Amino acid sequence: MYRDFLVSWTGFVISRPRQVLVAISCITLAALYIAITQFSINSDTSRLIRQDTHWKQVYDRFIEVFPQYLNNTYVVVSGKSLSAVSNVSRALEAQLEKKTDSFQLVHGPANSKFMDDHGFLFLPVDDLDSLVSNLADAQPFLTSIARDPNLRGLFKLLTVSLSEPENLPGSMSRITNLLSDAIDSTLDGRSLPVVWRDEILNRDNDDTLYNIIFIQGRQNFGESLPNKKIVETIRSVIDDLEHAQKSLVDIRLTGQIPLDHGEIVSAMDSAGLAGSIAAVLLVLVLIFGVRSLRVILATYLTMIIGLIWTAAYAILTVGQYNTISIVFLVMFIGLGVDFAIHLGLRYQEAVGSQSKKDALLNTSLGVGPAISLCGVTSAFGFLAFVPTEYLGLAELGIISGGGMIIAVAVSLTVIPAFFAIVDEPVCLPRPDYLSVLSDVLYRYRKAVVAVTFAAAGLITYIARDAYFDYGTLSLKDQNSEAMMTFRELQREDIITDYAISYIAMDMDAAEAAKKKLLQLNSVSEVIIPQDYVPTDQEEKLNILEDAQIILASAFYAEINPAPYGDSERDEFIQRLLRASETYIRSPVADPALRQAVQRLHLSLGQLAISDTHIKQAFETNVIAPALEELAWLENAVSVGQVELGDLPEKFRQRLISEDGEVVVTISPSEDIVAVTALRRFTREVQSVIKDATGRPVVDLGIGEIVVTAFQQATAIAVTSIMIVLLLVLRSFVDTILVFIPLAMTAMMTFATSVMIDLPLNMANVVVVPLIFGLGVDNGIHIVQRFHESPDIRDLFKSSTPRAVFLSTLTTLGTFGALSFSGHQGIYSIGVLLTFALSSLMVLTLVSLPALLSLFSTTRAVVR
Amino acid sequence: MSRMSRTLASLFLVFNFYLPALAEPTTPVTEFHEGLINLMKSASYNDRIQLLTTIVANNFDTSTVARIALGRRWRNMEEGNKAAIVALMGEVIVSSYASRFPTYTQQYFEILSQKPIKPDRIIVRTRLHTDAEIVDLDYQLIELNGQWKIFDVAANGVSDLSLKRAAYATTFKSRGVAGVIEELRQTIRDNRDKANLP
Repeated sequence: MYRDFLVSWTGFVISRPRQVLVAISCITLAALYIAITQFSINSDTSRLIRQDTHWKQVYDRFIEVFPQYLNNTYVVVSGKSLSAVSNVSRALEAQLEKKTDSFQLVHGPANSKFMDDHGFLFLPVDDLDSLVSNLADAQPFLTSIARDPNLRGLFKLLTVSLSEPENLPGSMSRITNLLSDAIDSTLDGRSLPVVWRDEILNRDNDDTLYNIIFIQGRQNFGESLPNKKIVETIRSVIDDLEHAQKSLVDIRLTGQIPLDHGEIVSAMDSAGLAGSIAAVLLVLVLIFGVRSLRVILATYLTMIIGLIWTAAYAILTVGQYNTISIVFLVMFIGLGVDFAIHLGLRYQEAVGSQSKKDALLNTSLGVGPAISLCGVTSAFGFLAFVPTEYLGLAELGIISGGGMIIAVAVSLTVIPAFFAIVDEPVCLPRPDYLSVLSDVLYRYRKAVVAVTFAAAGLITYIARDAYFDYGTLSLKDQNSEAMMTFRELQREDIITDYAISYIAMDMDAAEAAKKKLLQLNSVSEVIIPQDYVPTDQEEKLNILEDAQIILASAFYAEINPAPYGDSERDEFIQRLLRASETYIRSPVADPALRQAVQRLHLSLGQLAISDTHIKQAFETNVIAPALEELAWLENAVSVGQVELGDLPEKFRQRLISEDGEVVVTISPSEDIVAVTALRRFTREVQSVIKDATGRPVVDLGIGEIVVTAFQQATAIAVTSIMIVLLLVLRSFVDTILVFIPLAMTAMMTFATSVMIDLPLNMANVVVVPLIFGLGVDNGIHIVQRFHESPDIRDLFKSSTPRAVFLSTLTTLGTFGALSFSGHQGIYSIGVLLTFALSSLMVLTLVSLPALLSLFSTTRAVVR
Repeated sequence: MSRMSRTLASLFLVFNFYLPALAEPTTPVTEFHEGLINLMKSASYNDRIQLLTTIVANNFDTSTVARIALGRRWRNMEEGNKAAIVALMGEVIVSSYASRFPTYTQQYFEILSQKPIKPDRIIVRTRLHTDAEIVDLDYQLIELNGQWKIFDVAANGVSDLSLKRAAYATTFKSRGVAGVIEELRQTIRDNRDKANLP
């Protein structure tokens, strides 16, 4: 019946090919319009999963109570200079706060007045103690400036210190370098104020310091890139920021919004790049395999029309793409041409001995049933995900399943119409690479079968170690700024993304839960709001009291009232010049300090002969910031005890709700990247706290849905394809024989995942059901042609093996192109499919014919 | 002592009958200054040491000096070590002043003002006049059991306590108690050698 339909359809097309092509062109233009104007892509990974699970409800409730945690962007200011990191971050926060139309929340916890005043209490006791020693070291300089708030006091001190080298303060060489820098910058016009804080606190380690500003943007879901505006606005504020210390820091973005935005950009870039590579590879494969310009042209035309139709179909049915389903647009380049290749090659084979019309009709009749069947089985492979909870892949399934049917329909229409109006394809001579294979294969078919079974055993053995990576972050481009910054913060223990959170009713409930949770083996730390109050305050306040004593001479200095003029300034500059010269010549001088003093001497010499206003500017650059730091220090070492209620409101709001509910954060005691550890941690915590949320819970929840979806989809694909094969091939043995390469390829996918250490993930689970859907095509073609041929040597003389080889090669090319993606999910689909299809090609062209010739008895023909 | 301050002193004497616990913060400073003048007049290092040892013992709070100089680890130190360090700290103070003034050349001290910082802490500002220069000496005192004790002297703004903290806390961190004790002993020997007195 289907053959009758094919005959009448092909007859219809070739009787009025021009009209048909015009109609197709009109539909294609309309489709193109829809595909472009209504394009949209959704990147919210959580929305790729059906939403009505318990963990999702818990998460939603958490966000309802603490909306601050939703969709954050972290602006990460980092660097080695404490003052630069803190000053630039403050300036940036002030600028960001002005953009009220773009951001609803801007919060730099470390930039608050509170932290400025109480920062010392948040240092570990030992660090605070060392810091006070550093303050003691800086005391002479601080007091000299406090007693005489101009260059006179400082220069006098330097002059005296250099004259009595046995009593030099430890910070001498750093201070001299600081002054040399200040003189140089004043002389060359940059006129940079001295950054005293780093010197006063003398951080002797080289650690990078981080300051994070949390931003919550007003999301604009109407645009095709919803987070784009937020990210771009932040970037433009960063670019426009002018600050003397900006060059000393790195400013980077991470957090949910930049990660999601980056994922969309990388998925779209990846699709674009892979698509371009695929299109080029396709031409190369076609030139290599077809060697007929007309067939290539027809194939390409079919592919492009099919692609546009599918893109429009996706928008009309699903409405939008997601970061996984967009991949199908690339896959289509390889998959959609397969049918055209089979038709084109068969026509090329037939047209030599028949009239054009007969050749076209016979081509449709000869290949049509097989490609239609292939379209259906491939669609089954894709549609297998539709009934599962995994919406992301279900959408891919709808788009791709439909796409396959579209590809069949377009191929069966465009190819006959195209060849009805152009001349017969001229076939250039081809190397007969497959007939060599046929002789060898015929002679050694038993050995081939034996090797195939041995390989199956080995592959299965390796595949046992395959595992599933539950992390949703592992899909993202690992080299993007957002991802690298995110991992860096994780490494530095600044953010704990692998912590579980929950909302306790009140502070007492939190305390009680903390005690219980800490008894669990898998829990290392439980943080409740009280834990943000500095610890060991009594001891820290004692240490700060010591600092007050040490710096009392600066804080309670009697200010020198003696008037002070330009000539006096010149005089003490000269005195310091002489003292430094004496020091440089002194035999007891410390080598490092001598170098520093030498530099100061040179700069000072320049200053001495410059204009008065330069000297005044230098004085301001040195003294004004020092007085500011003194005022800050006096305040910071004199603070009192801090309690929870003293923490800044914006900060407290992240911990305590309006109704007094509090956030409890639970950290794991082991690395929970491995699924077993992730599950142990999550389940143990959930045994105490039922309504827990956080990335471990969400990842585990999503992961379990994905694994179940994967199992269901594979079962659906295998069963439905098996039924179709039984119906069509009408042979149990042939059905099994076609399935052997498929099952082996599925195992090969797992084995590859183990061997190249590319775990299965949310994206590449699509590969296995897909192998059944796509791989079965070639099996059908080979079985069908095998039964039309006396033995496998004749099989290899027909166009079928070449068509199988070529169509697999085009698929391989496009899927291989996916492995150039930055997006880890797309990349891993590409890599696994490349390995899988390579092995499938060998199995179909070598093992399957050998298996057929040994085991197949029936002479079934596809009807 | 001017007549004015003598009058003030006698007033305080009167007050002291009613407020027996509160001594005059300038007293230890004055006693120390007098000691220094006597010391300048003495040509023997041992005599100088003997003279100052009593004065420092009476007027300085060497345990506060030691505590702040060594930082937070002081608290967890064995009592025996603490006592040894406090004693040595006293010797360091004594020997450093004993070595500092070679001869008496009409130097004199002047008490300028007092600046209370906290109920139990005060700064007494003084000035040393020599024939070559004027040195601002700011004393920080703490009140212990009704007695004011000196624990820091800042000469022209350079605090002795902060120099000690910068030096000994570092030593303590790297070489422990033994290192500190050794360094204190070395300083005492150096002071003696520097003094260049019989």
